[in-house]
Amino acid sequence: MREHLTGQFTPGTSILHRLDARAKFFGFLILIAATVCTDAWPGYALLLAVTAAVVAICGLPLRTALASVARMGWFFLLIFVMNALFFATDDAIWHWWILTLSVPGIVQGAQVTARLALILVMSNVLTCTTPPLEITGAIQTLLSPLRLVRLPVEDIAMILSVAVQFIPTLLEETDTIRKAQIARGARFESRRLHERAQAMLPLIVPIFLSAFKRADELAMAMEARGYRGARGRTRKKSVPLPLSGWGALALCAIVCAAEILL
Amino acid sequence: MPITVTNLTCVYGAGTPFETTALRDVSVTVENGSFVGILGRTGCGKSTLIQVMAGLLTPTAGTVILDGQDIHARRYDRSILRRKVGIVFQYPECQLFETTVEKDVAFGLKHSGLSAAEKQARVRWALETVGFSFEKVHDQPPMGLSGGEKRRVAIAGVLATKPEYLILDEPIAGLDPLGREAFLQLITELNRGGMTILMVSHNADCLGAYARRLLVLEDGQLVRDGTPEEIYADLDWMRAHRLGVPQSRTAAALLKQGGLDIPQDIASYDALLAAVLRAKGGARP
Amino acid sequence: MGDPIMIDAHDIRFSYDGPGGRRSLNGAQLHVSPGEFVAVLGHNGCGKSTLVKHFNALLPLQHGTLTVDGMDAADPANRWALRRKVGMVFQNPDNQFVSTIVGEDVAFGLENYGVPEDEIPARVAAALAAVDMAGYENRATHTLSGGQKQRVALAGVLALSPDILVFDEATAMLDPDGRQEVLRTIHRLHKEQHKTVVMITHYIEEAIGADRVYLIHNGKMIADGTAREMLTQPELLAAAGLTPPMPVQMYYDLKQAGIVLARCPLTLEELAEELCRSQ
Repeated sequence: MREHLTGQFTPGTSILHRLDARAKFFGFLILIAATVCTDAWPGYALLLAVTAAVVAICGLPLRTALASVARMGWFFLLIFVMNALFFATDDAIWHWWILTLSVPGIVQGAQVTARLALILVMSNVLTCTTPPLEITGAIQTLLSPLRLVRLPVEDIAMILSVAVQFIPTLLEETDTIRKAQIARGARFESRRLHERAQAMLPLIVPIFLSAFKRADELAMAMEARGYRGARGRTRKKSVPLPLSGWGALALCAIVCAAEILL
Repeated sequence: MPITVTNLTCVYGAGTPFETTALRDVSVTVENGSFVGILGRTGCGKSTLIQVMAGLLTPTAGTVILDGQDIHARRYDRSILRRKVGIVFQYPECQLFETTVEKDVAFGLKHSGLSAAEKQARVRWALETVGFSFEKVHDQPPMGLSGGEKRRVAIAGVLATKPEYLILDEPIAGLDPLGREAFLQLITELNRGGMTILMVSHNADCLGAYARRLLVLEDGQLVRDGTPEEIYADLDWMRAHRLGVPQSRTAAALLKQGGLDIPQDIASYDALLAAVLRAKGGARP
Repeated sequence: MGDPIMIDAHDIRFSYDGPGGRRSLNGAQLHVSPGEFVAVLGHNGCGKSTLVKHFNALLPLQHGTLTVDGMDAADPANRWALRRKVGMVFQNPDNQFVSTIVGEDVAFGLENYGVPEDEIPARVAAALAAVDMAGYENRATHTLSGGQKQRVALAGVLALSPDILVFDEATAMLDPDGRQEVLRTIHRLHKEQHKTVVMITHYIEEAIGADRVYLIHNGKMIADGTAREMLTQPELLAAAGLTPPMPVQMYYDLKQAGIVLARCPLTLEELAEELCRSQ
């Protein structure tokens, strides 16, 4: 038994849950592009509204939807402070050594933090509403043009989906090994950095060994079932993107265009 | 001093769609020096219970008192708990990580304050207890040993701190028959030496033969608490709750059906053999 | 089928360190007739898993001869045909899934052999039905019990309609319920679909229903015969590092106490029958 993880797929019946994964994933990329393009306040206001709307229709408890941002609070503070204090400008409010506090610096800090927070919320909603396998399928679709340059797209997709399949097992195992070592007196919460790195060995070594063993057994099981790479495998006919998917993509594109214009 | 568990409730993922109650209001006292088996089907909460008792999981409600102190209290010194309570997880060989057997077994003694010589004496004792010759294995890499040997090294690593309480989660899973027997003998000897044993298993045969008290968990609740003989006597109840009936108990029921005068509170092979010999008038070999 | 022998393994030697290294197999042999249920019993590390991994060319033949349904396992050209002929279920249910969704996982083998996409759903459904898991196509694998996982793994193997099913300690990591489910399924497939079964185990009770039992020790067969012949000889079992089934143990313990039963019982029912008859 383990605790629920941030970003873990949560089954549901919302519009977002039912939306085609390819549309969701591609739409997500468009919205990231839009976020990166934005540098004006109206743009941020629009993005905030869009993100709020996404959170509202995703059918997840607010706590789950925003969990990723909440957990990264200190990181955001750091990003903000770094941007605010290291902004090179002439009209500083306050200046000491290499630190400069200025209005443009604070504005930039706020903007960078806001961008990261919005992207994080959206990616969290994406992974919470889409089964991992559908995300890997979407990635495969997006990569498929690269077949032309001889990229082994099917093999990459297989690696991704197998890796995804192992995540829950490995997390559970990590939890057990961590507890076993704590029970033997391991202290993972050491303060000094080098001690901390060393303290992680009783955890990292067993997990790696186990992961290799599992990978080895899986490889054997796959071979026993006739796997020999992508060659000779059944080619799946691609399912056309449903209307709802095109609609979602169009909406994302409009948002992106608006961001560029604003 | 015993371990006393009072009104223990454990809820996972509270407030999320994954919320599950693993333990509901469990109260039990484990006396010093006893050999207690915990029986239950997969997912009944037995692993959660022992992890809470070992201080590795914090309960949603309830207390675990060890030697008069609440082990989940904020100000409790956990190092006392770590020294007194050892826990062997399922497939414990997975936790080996050091470059030599000696270093791995000594890992638990790192913060013990023992001298190097004392530490080595402990490691020697632990390795010999699980049936190794210290000289032969101490400088070997644990990863090079066979599966069964690795498991014994891992158990030596838990024994090295000389815990008063030893908690075991499905310790015989994956062992072959001789390995199983040797392991259960080892645990019995540790128990005779005064160590309190708490063993989780879904193997009713092995618990019946070795444990002197049995706790049965179902859906996170403690539904039975008694000797294996008392609990196994109620065959219909065991079957209705799909707990797996020991072979000796099934045999006792079949023999009674066939007209032999065999008591029905049979929990082990030895008890069955003795009962058959009595019924048939043979001499105990 | 003209050839009455399904698997014919002779003098197989194998070392994971390459020829000349420490041997896991030391002249092992095995003969399996079509439709036979064979159990291979041995303690941990006796080489039983290594042996069966030769049957579908997961391990290369280093020494000896092996033919499976007339195909020479030493010929690399036969590799894919062998893997289609011999389906194998492994010990750890979590380490043989390629997908988190039951239906997709069962389809994996079919896709590997290029089965047309429109045939796949029907074959997946049939395979799942054969292991009593009909309708589980869209379930996530991690929500299944151990026994269900192993049955899904078996369905993934069955989808390719192999003639031979090999179980490499497939019940070792399961709880009693799961073990019963899987055993029942194996016996049913053997009876109803006439599959040839090779089951590797160290749970002696699992061998009771087999047509033929091989005892293996240190990479070599030490005896073979019917389940009754093999399992009622405690010294022989001890030589293989095994303990006899409970009724057999009781037969010998009673004999020592002067109570001699007419025959050595193998199952609990037989034990009760013998004891109650000789009252």
